[in-house]
Amino acid sequence: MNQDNPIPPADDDEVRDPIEAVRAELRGYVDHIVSKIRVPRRRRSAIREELTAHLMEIFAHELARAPADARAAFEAALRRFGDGDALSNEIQASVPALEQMLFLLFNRERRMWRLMIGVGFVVILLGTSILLPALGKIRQLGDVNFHGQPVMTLALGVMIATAIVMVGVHLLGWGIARAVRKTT
Amino acid sequence: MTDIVGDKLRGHLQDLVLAALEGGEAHGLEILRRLEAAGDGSLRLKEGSLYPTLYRLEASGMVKAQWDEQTKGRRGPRRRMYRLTAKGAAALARGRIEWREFARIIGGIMKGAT
Repeated sequence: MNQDNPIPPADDDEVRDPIEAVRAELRGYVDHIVSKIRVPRRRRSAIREELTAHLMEIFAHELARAPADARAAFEAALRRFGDGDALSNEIQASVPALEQMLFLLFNRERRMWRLMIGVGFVVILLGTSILLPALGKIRQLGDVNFHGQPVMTLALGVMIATAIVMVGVHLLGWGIARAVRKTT
Repeated sequence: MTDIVGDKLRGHLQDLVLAALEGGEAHGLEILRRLEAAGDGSLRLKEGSLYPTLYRLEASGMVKAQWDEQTKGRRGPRRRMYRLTAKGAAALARGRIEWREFARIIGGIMKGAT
């Protein structure tokens, strides 16, 4: 395949039928467009089906104009449809932020960073569930005269909980950074 | 007549699509046909660029889409049919008012200073 041409070559059966070969190229063109769009798999497949239906129809229309030249009809269809890379970007920009966020969190194709984000959340929750009661206790004790062992225990608890929260934040940040790197 | 191409349509496409859907539900290609017919053939739009607009309208609840399961007379992938919602109809009514105002003001300026 030519490096500049994102369309995969047709297989042998399709080469025997030039129109079928062109249809395969059109499907490849749409595959190229949707492969760059960061949306859940189901949504991507719906976009693929819809764009393919449209492109096939305009190809059929162009072919009806010049039945002897499937290649010319193919090129005319692509001209009508527009630049694939620009369309990918425009479709990506049309995806709501929430859907993009859900894709980042739950995309099945990328397990490692999802795990990191999940573990990060759990660790942060665990840390804050220790830290917040400990801080509350310190505030309560602040009104009375306290010293010695209870203070040391509380201080230790606060330090440990803070460390746990920091680990959680680190995991979460790492997961998000990996997610962003992999999807750009 | 001068063709109206992509850049000049940007910013108006949402309202144009809503207006095209006022005539009843339609798939992408049919929406384009309606726009071309209503624009006396002067609208020149890259056809793929209709879809980001449709997806935005769908996400904001102005249109609803469902797959057309009817394959009679055609084969291949299914088409998605779009229809105007009440929210879309209200947005279209607002868009029309804004457009009239815009055309009145810009038209006045373009006529030239007297």
